[in-house]
Amino acid sequence: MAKKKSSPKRSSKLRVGIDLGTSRSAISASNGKRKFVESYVGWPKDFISEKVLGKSVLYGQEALDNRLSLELCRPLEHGVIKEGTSRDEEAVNELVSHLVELSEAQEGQEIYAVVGVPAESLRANKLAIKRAVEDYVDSLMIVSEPFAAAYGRGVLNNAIVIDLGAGTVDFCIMHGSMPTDDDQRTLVTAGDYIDGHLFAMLKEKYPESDFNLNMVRKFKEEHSYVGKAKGKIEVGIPVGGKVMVHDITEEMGRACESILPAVLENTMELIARFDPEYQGIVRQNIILAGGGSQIKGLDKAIESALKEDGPCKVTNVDDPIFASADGALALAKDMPDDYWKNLLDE
Amino acid sequence: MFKQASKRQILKDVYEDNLWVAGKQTSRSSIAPPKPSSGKIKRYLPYLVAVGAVVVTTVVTAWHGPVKQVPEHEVAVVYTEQGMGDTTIPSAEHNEGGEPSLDAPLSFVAPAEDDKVVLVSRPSVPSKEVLADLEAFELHQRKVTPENYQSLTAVDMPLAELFGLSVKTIVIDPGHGGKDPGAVGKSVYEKDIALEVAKNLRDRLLAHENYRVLMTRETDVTMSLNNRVNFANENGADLFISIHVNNFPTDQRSFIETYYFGPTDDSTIAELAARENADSHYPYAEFKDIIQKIGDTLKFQESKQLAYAVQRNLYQQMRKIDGRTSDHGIKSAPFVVLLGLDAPSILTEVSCLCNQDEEQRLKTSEYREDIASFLEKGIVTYLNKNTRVGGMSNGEKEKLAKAQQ
Repeated sequence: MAKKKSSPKRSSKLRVGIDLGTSRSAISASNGKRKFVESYVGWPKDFISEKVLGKSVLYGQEALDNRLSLELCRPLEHGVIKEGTSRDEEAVNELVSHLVELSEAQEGQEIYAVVGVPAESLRANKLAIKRAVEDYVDSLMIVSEPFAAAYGRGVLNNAIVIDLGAGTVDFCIMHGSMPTDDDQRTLVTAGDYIDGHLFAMLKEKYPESDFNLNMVRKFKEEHSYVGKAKGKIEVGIPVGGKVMVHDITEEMGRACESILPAVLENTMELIARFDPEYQGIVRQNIILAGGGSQIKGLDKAIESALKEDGPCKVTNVDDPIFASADGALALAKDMPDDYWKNLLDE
Repeated sequence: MFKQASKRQILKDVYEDNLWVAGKQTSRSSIAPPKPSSGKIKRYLPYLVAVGAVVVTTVVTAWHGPVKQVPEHEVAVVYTEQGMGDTTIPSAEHNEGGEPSLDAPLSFVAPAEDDKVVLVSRPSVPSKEVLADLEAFELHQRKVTPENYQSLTAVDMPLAELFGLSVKTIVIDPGHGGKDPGAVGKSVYEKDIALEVAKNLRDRLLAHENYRVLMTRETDVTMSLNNRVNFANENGADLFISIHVNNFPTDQRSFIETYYFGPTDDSTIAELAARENADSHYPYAEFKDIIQKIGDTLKFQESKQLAYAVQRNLYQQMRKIDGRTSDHGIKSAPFVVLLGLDAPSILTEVSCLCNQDEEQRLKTSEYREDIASFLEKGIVTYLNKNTRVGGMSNGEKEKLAKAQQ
């Protein structure tokens, strides 16, 4: 997508909410378009690859599927732009450009974007995201992902949102005002951590089997659980070129449960930040968002652990992939025009 | 239904926060000011507030005799931009606010005739004398009065010990890496030496089985300074040790030195700090935010003690290998990698590539293992000192008992 240039005539405004995730990125637009893409960008390795693929850059699943012919980049780490190579920055630019393109803005239409970032992002990280996005939109704001998810659901008071992503688990307490730094937490023991843990355990159990981290990630997305397993989890993994059935039940449970203690500890700590009179209400209002909320039994495991201190209810958002992007869109729609204009880059 | 007025306020707060991010507003306006992000800071905060009270009381007393009990409304405390350094006799320049400066001294105005206390600069890093008084602060006497403040000076006890804090997570930071080689010898790079020494040190500390030991980088990758800081803070570092190797082409001696965060008047150190800070990736406004952490007295004290223990052990052992090794001691310097950390932190220059013999030794794995063992010894010395059973030696307990009589 071409970078935005100010055009003399603007027909209307398109408001978009963007969730730039370590694993998946999503966009929700005021024209009804909702799209997500795996956060991968790939460039053909050479002239031949480019000719075969017919594209100069590939995104998401398509990039993953053709990774052997590509210089593949997963540019976000723990929800922020990786530092170290200009290639990562270039990849984020490509990713943002692609997402905005997916929103199908009309020619000359002004784009106002709200972008979600991890809860405890430093100002430097926010500025880096801002730099990556601002070329493709007219005005933009950056908010924390769990706050965006909370806003999208209209859960603005006496609630905790836990956004379990690939790179981070973000916590945010809502008490009727915009959450401050102290109202938010970010853990880096998230989905990628589970993948790494599971990969290590499976390598130890099945040293002769041939699998990679990407395969392990797929196993997790299909079979993740905490608590009691509902039957055996068996997957096919090649051993010496022949696919064999492997039992990964126990390892899957242990890997998924490895993030639980930190999640519980932070949830309890954040509940304790509320006025004691309202803590009971907050316990009934814990929202799980993000791809990690799809881990089977996670909501019940949190409820069970927190019930020791009183009744508790954990609710999964309906659409975890779009929860933050939808929330960011809701913010973008509600934000007065004056605010957007004041943030326009001169 | 959530009130529309509150929703409007939320939208306004989001907008103002974004103005701040974009650098179009200097503060976050109606949003509560950012508090220290680390849980550790939050834990220490009540104590540091109390310690701040002792600083005011003690320094004013030293200046002007015991403070008279005055009605609360008559005590005015005025803060300007933060500064740090030694307590000095006030001067016109010091009393004026202005841009934050690393070497702006902490200054106090002498009590006025009506005994009002006017503090014109935040007591960030107190002088040596004030620190001695701070170390003597007794936890159970949080309410400091003119009557009891003198008893606080009787006990020589570090704050970490006083508050029963212990070290669980140690983060080791091999300096430079990737596209940044650091100091360059004839055939060896600082980044490679630092990495191997760091790995050896990690293995040695893990063998104690008491600590969680992490490294900011385990391979030859480029890593910005703020990412190193973030990594340590996010992982709840209780100690942070950054490993470097010096190179001053104009000086053929091999010398070792250890830094902890603080101001410097030394232009050579300032140049070194500027070089090490070059890749900090901190925008100015964020740099200003983190400078406020300088006021963390506990971190300052502990960093200094850690620096002392490491430097002493390192020098003693290195001198045995090469008698020409020079001890440049412990120094305070404004390294970004030390500034942004919540935990006690040091940057140690374990050797020097300017000496040819030393460079030959540094190329060997055995010597890198030796250096790691010297660092280990220094760190363990510091840790053992801070984990004395009961927090106080018998002598200290006796001194405290006497003071309280």
